[in-house]
Amino acid sequence: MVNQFAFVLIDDSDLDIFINEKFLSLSGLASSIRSFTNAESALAYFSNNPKNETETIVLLDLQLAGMSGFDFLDAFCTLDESLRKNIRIFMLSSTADTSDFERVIAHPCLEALLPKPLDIEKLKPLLV
Amino acid sequence: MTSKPKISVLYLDDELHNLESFKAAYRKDYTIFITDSPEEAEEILKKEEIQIVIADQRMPQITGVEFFDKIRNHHSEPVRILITGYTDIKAAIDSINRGEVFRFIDKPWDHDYVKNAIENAYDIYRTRKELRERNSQLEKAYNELDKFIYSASHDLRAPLMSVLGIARLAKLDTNFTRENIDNYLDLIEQSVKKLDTFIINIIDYYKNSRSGTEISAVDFKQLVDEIKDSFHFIPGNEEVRYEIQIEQEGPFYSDPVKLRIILNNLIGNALKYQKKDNPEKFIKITIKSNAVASTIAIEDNGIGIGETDLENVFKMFFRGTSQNSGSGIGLYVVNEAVHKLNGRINVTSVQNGGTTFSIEIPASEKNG
Repeated sequence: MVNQFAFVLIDDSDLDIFINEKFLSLSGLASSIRSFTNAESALAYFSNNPKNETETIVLLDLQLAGMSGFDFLDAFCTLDESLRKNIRIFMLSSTADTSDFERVIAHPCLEALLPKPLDIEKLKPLLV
Repeated sequence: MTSKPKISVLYLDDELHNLESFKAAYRKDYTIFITDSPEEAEEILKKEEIQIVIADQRMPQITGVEFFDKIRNHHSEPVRILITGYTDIKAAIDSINRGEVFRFIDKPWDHDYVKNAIENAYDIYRTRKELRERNSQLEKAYNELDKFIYSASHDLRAPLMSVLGIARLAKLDTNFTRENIDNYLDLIEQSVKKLDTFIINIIDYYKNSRSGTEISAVDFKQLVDEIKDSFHFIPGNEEVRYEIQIEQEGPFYSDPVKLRIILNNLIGNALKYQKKDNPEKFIKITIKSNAVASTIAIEDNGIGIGETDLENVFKMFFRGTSQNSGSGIGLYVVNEAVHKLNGRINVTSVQNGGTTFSIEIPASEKNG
């Protein structure tokens, strides 16, 4: 039996959300998938979601219209610890800018940066 | 040729009759400021745009070289000329060698010699100023290029990576019905179109930033009709009602390529950022044009722009909305194009109420 996770997708491209939802549902990794097309509403969701008991994996796009992926990370980091419990954030981006990678490595609230398109086989070992 | 701007000269000397005779001799050629007080000279430097400072070496409170030393940090731009008698020649040579003084004039001074020194000094002033301006332009261009390369490579890759994702997904899918295959093909089509729009925007940007200006008489009615037609076949646009009002009196000379870029982007945005469920979608295009200037207003009743985003809309790669997300280049290019035509652009908007862009462009000279 594979471990399952609640997934949260944050991406301003409807197309990429669709693709990632499909990948995840085919993989059998997801017990649930919730998607946001902007970081503001995702942040509002996490700010009002105490007692989160399921292990949650967030796939966060970097270049978002409005609040960027980095802005989201910074804001998420300041949330109360009880709200951040069981939540792990991975960034998903097609960036080619190496300074983005450096910023990602340095960020305390982020686990890793994954290139787009999402590769389930690369994500799996990171979740263990 | 524009008329030569008058050179501003500040002359500091403790002998009043020197000051007076200097002013009398050169006031027709230059804008002259004279004073016998070093403090007042500094005040003048603060207030006026002085290009050339002339100082006497021998003054009771301070020497000319000391005065130059003092003003150097805060007023490095004016070119410095020292007036001195032969007895001070060593001080003068030293200061020239140390780069503090551009030239010295010996007493008693000769009219043409001084004039020549001022003209030469002004050439130096102008050359330095131009060099500074070029440098800051270059710096801006480099910064833009850096940002451009990274952002553009991301925006070029994003739709490609979507296509790659779709291809991988399709390979995993075992549902071989026509309908399901068409779904994947539609997604690929969407992504490719987005990529193409981005590339067209980049070409606009390049044309706009590099091209020389081709000036000809602009026919606004024809221009607007052509742009309108080019959008007509895009699904969804047929629901938008146009209200077009063009008053053109006499020929308006400008760069039609830039005007097309401006109108194309603004009309395209007005169409793109409509409210999906609004039954009364409209675009209002108002153009008033004569031989001197044109004003253009493009108004829509679409989704509008939030107050905090309004000041950023002309920045490169800024995207305010995730609806129908654009490349963040369009309005940047519009703004650049308007400025290259020496015009002004303004935007007002109400979130969820609509947006109005107003532009004023003066006519260009026929031979550019």
